[in-house]
Amino acid sequence: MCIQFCLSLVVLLFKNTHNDILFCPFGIWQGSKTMKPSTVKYKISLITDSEAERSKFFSLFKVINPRLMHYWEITDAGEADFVIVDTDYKKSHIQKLKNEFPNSKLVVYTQTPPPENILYLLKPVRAGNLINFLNHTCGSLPTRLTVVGNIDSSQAFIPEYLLSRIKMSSTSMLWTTQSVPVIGYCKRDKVIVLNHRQFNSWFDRDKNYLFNRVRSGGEASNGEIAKLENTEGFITYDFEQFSWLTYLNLSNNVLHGDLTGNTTFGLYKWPDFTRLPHTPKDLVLTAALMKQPMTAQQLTTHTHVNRRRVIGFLNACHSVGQLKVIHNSPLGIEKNLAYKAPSELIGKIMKKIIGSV
Amino acid sequence: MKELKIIFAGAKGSGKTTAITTLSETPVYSVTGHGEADPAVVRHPTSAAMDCGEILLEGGQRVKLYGTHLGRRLNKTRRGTLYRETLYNNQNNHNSRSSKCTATQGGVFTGNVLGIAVLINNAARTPLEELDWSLQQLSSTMYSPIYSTTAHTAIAIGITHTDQSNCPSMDLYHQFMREKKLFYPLFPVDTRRSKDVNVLLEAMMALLQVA
Repeated sequence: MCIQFCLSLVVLLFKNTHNDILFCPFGIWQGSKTMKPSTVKYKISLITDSEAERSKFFSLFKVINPRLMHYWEITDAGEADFVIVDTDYKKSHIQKLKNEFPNSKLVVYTQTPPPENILYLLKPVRAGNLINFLNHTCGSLPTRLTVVGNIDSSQAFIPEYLLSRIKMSSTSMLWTTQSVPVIGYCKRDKVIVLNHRQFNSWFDRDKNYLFNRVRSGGEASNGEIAKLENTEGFITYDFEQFSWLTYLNLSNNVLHGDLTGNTTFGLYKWPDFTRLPHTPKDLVLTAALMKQPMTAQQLTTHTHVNRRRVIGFLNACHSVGQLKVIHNSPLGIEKNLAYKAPSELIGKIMKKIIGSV
Repeated sequence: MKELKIIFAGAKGSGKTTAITTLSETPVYSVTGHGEADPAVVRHPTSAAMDCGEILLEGGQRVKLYGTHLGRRLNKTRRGTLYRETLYNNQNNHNSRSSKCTATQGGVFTGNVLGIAVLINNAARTPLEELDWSLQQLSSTMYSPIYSTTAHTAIAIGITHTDQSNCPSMDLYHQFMREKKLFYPLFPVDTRRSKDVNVLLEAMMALLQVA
């Protein structure tokens, strides 16, 4: 029995060592040893009057740093992309802090959720929480970014990398954009969207209660999470799907991260639309990008798809690691690329297909 | 009104019949190699029969769904060697004797083919080789002068039985396609789920729009 157990552990470790990802059944897990899945570098700073809090935070940060998607560097507050303010020790007005660091993303580090609509990180911060927070809130950062080294961008945002990571934690996740906060509850590899603007119909009568519990720091007990998962009417997603949906619908017409309007994009492959929520327009955009690399504007012009949708689609593809940066400036479009408005027949077929899903 | 076709092509056991059954709004029937359509035909797994189904559109228009073999067979007369049976070898079957189903194994690629879904069984012995073979066959068939109407045919690839075998991984398939410089839509599909099969159709329609 004992030998069998040992053997199964060895097999498990062996199986998970491909793709440079190590997984240990006891929870000691380390991300990619050789490279990050992103080439973007961010700077982080913590403002606090408590030396103990500072050392505790940065000790944790150093431990989790190898497991972060992006490169991170500790720096002074003035240069940081991400300024974390410990409001329990450093009493200051949020607006004043915002004025003080206009080019940085401000995050409140506190024991109680702030009344303002601002990103916050609750104490005591856990490794899983901090990883998720840094990995997934930095998409809305300003463009003061540095690209690191000669890293093959095809390795960017490996979904398995993210999924392995998210599976290690049972935690709440805060997701926010400029105007619409999206809060999901993440447990293992499932994310439950609580206030997704596009999917209001999914809410049931418990939504306010659940929303408030999440808003108040995500302290809902496991029993409540289990209850939530069993609630009909809520749809759960795995992490990749959640990421895709969020960027697809809530990009606010802004390209995220290191993407710009002049960049010519292509796709590595067709996104897995059997798993990822989509509309027929997303498939048209994919077909166009697979045929010919284009900028966001060229894609809008050539496919006649709304620009907001195009931006959301590009961000979503980027978030699941399938967007390829071809060139930093626009390239010419081949003459043979032509978009044909859906014929009556295609329209009928699409109506049939969509109606039957 | 011209008959519109969507073809599900693949080797034996790749899920063609299941896909058509999932999509079809009329009872699926089989056609033998001689073009005889008979719903009562019990198709032997290795026979040359095709499956036929239909999608009914608004205005009474119909899209025919055909399942046709696209793979290698062992010819009994040449035991021990792999005999490649190509689709267009069967040209004699163009003139269908069936009033219900106007295509046979050879002639299925004639006429208004909207799209071809190539199904690859991931639990097969050599699925990547099967994909390579299928695409070669399709390419030679489509660009054969006999089949002149397939220039605007959309092709999508569905990898089936991924629940039975996850090797080769989807990444390997995509890598294979990149190496071949082929950019067809490629998805893992469970042909029992209409949502998955519909994705193949949606991808075909998208390709038809971006010519």
